[in-house]
Amino acid sequence: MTISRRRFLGWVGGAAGAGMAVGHRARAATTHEFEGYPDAMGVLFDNHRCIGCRRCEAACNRVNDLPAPDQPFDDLKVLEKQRRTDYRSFTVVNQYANGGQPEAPVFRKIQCNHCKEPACASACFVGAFTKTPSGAVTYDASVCVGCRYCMIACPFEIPAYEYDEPLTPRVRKCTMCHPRISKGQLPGCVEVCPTESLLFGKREDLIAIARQRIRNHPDRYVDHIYGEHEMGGTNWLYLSKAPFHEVGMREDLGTTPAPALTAPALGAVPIIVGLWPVLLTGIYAINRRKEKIARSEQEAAVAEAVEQTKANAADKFALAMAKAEQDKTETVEREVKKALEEAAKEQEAGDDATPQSEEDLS
Amino acid sequence: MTDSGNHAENSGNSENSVLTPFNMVAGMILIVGIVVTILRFTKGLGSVTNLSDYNPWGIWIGFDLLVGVALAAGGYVTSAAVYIFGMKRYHSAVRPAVLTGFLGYALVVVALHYDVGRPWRLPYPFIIQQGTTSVLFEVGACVALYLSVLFLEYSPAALEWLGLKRARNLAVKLTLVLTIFGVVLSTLHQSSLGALFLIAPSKLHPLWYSSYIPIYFFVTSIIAGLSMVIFESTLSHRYFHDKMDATHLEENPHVTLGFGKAASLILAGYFIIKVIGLAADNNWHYLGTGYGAWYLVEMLGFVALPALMYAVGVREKNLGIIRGTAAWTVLGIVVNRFNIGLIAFNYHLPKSERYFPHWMEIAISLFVVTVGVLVFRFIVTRMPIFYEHPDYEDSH
Amino acid sequence: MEKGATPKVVGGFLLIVALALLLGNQVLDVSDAAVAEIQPRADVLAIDAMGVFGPLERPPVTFLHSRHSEVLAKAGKDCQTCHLKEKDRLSMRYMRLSDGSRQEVMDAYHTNCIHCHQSMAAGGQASGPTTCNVCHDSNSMVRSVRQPFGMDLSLHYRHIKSQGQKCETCHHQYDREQGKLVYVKGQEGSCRYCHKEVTEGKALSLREAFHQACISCHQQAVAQHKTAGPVDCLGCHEAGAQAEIARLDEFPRLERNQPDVVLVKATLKTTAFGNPGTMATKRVPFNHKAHEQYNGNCRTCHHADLTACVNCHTVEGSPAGNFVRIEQAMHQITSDKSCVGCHAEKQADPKCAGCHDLMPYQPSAETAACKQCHAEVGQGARDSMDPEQAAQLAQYFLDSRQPVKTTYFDSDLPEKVTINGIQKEYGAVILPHARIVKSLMDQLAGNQLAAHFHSDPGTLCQGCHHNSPPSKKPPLCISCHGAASSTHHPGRPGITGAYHQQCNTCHQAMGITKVDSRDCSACHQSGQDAKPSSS
Repeated sequence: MTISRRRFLGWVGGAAGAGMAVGHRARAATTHEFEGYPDAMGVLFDNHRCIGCRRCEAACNRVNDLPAPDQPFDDLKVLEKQRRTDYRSFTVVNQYANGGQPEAPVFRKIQCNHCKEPACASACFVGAFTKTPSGAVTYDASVCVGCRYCMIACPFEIPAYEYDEPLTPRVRKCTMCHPRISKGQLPGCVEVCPTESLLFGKREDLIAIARQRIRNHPDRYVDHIYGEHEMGGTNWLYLSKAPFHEVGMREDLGTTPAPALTAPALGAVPIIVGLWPVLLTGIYAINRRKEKIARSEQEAAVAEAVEQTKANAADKFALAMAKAEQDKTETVEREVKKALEEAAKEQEAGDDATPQSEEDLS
Repeated sequence: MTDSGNHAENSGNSENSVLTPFNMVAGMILIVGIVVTILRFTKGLGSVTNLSDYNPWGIWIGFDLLVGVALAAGGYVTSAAVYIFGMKRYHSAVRPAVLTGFLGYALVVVALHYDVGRPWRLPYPFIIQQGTTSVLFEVGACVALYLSVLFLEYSPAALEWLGLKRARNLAVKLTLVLTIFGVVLSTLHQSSLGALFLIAPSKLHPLWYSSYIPIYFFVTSIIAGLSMVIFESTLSHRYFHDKMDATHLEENPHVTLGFGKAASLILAGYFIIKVIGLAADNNWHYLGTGYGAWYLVEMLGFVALPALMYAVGVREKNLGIIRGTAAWTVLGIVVNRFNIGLIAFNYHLPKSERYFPHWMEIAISLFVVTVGVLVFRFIVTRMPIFYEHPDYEDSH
Repeated sequence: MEKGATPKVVGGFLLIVALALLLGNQVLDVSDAAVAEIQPRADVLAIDAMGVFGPLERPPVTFLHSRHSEVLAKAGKDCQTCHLKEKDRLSMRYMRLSDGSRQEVMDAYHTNCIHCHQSMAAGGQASGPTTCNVCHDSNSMVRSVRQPFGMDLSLHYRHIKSQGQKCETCHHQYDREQGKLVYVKGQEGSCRYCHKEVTEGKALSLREAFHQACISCHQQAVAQHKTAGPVDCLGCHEAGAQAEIARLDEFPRLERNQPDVVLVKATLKTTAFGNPGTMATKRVPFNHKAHEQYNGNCRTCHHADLTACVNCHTVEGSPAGNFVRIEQAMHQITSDKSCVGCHAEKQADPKCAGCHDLMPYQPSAETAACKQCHAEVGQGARDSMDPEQAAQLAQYFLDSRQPVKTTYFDSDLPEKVTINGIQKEYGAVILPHARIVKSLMDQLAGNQLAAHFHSDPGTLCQGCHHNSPPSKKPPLCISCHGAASSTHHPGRPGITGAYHQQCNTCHQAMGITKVDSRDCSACHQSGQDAKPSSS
């Protein structure tokens, strides 16, 4: 099907115009900085106040209707082993030796840190995770396919999976009690903590409070608010009386938010989609052209060779013809000469005899 | 009426019997596979795998997905060589390579149905909700599209077998477009499988984590494709020799030499860019550790060595060396993908939390590969893969 | 394949697999943070003598000095086995008097150490390493618990006695003009005034000076069969050994012409703010004699020399005082040399920490504590006062102070307090109020600092009844602490948190282990769901 240049350009222009009319404002994916939702809430955990009573674990289990654990929540012997979140524990409390004060161990509550730019939300290919304006990172089991990439992505190793569910396995993690906080209530763990080691409030307020606590008691706390910048910032913040790596918190995660780690790779996709076809078609076209030129050169060479042969043959033929012609002429001359000689010979023999007729004399 | 041999008494030796040793082993694998499949879908992943909350991805991803996709890359590499770069000498290698690719990708999707929690929801990212920030979304989209491309590229063989001339001619007309599309899609998803790990720098050992991972995965996919074509043709020659026509047999040494040459060059280039990556991140000091020694084994034994051996084979025109190196390189791809997905991943966790596959996971992986081999055998023994169909001999 | 290639290929394959397994084994042997026994020792030395020649090529050698000296002692050998004598004193360097060239220093160690180890091993005895990597190992399984050591007044007096009051035995000064050490009576000071952490020119480092002086002297005494101090590392630097050093309860005051009382003043040197010599602040009567006992040494306060603080620390700050102004020198709460800083350190004592741990680090601006030190001195008491007059005035103020050693009368205080404001799961807490108050008072008996600063009978009560003026009837806790904390009052917990934080922190800081903070029934009466702890 052929199409005139004019028509083609017309179509392209129309498409471009239509595209611009409905297109969104272009945004660079990689350099965009997300300051966080302005009223996002968070929780500040202060392990100086935590006594490791595990009431937060019990409350979380109750509020989220989780299955009962193997050991009851008031069994403090479980603290002798390090635990992690699993399919029925959105939060666990771990005990660590306190180097400075062996008789006063330090505790740490582990749960989803509700990152400002969550790795799980970035990694999920069905968008099952949402960073809500309330600050909580929520999970939608109704779209989850169960690929578990979120578990790979989370730098804090929080999401757990219901591996024993054959048909309806879900990813399980702390929700910051999103339904409760949407109603103005406190998260279950925060509400129940007897020593108020957990404080719920706006993230920026919590950071100010944390700084003030450090300033008020500089000998008590490590001068760092964990979660202020880690992985781009989290909404669950930590103050600690012992160095963070001694309470099982990684200090080598960096401050780059997780989405920024994959943004460059994803950014390359449209470029490849745009450029590769051009490149490959170009190579194909160049190859075709080369083949065509090679073919035509070959044909030309063959034709020339044929021409040459023909010319040679014609020359030879002409020569042969000329020679034959010459031969013929020579032969004719020779024969004529011979005939004339014979005739002369016969004439001489005839002079001695009488003329036979008058014809003989002419 | 002559007795055509000893076929009545021992059925195992008869030419027509199904119960060859290979078939019996394959059959057993299939049976075990079916049993484990039932277990997986009635009792859940926890009962058939050693996956944990720390190790959500095991060999079904590490081997079936990562290795499978890499080794199925022969399809796009061969079609590109023949149809885009115009290397007509390798034409007979296209159909086997495309078939290997198609089956490879199809089986990747099958294996995915085991690994993913709710496999019937696999279409969700396309039809329900798109997580476009996710590299996995891009992998899924490209793999799905590429599977269709491969199917279309493979279809002429099937259509010829079915005698559907018009459909077959239409399919053949699409070859160039499909090839270009296939290269684009392959570039995207091969590199993105590596890019999946970009999001977890804290979990992948520094010697393997690099912002260049996508490029490494793409380059190794080309190497894998080239080597796999040689490897598969070696095996096919052994077992399906009688199905091969004169063109195929005549072109095969050229394919082996040519692909071996290409593989040598690309392996050398890959080695160099890996060294550049090491230098860029200043990770030299890790080479002195245990993981460093293992990294050197991968680099020297499975990258530098095959690069050298391929070159030697090409120079000496020794097909045997090239074929052996191809098999070794395929193993090297397995080592590389295993390193990134299973061995160097979660390197920071204590031994008690590290992963080793359950025998049932190995059984399913074996099952999937066996199904692939059986389907391959079915197709090549019936359809014009290793030979040209007499009705269409002059039409490409 | 070509003939004969198969075995080669297979062999190569197996070789690489074997290599891989061998090396890969290390890979999977991921750190279970394999903490083999790390021994704590007080005699750990890191031999990095080559450091004077440039960056080290190999890690420093971990050397256990006491282990070696014990072994030598058993063999009847003494320090001179390793330490050469130089003019009556042992050189602290190993087998040499000074650092010559690289090769010499290296040989000194290699030849001697290894030779000794080898000969001992040849003699069938357990011995040290003889190969490079075992000595130069950066992962030694020892942890240094070396405690720093210093002289205190008790130990100093024991030395005075043993040396027959001859101060010149130890105290000296460096005379620049004469270029040698001299002794000047009346100018004895702490060794640390000249001997710092590292050797500076001719002034040896503190470590070298002490080791040379002290250990040599002790050795000589021991050689003469007299009782003397320790001669090896552990004797001074091990925590246990330090605790065993005899401490005299009473000893004469160390006389160094110091005043008994001082009326501390700070004056402006410049004329920028008015007349020269204008009083910059209210003067502080200071009981120097009493304070001599509080630190056990002079150098904690007199950290640079034994003169008045105000000589170097001026109002504006001067180079001599490292530009630390007098205000900072006296009030810096993070310093152990300042008045306020030292007082803050004393508050960390378990007897005090129960209340003081909860108080913010920064003293608030309008605290009444300022008046405890700064006295109202009349107009007449300006620079014109001579030192004797000033001392008399200071004594007057000090005598007129009234330390508060008691609190309110028992009849004014409740015997028990029932806390039952928001009972839900747990029963009420019946607080033994009188017992707690009595216990606190008992612990504070005789504490001069507390008596001085607890200026009101109700000050002690403010440990718990905080953020309100001292009173016999302080407000109820629930007046300020609501049901739950809110970020509107940052720092103010809700009532549950307030009680638990207050009680728990106090118990923890005071080392009260009888009450486990996780044992609810220890405090709470059995309520509707009171659960006893199973720990």
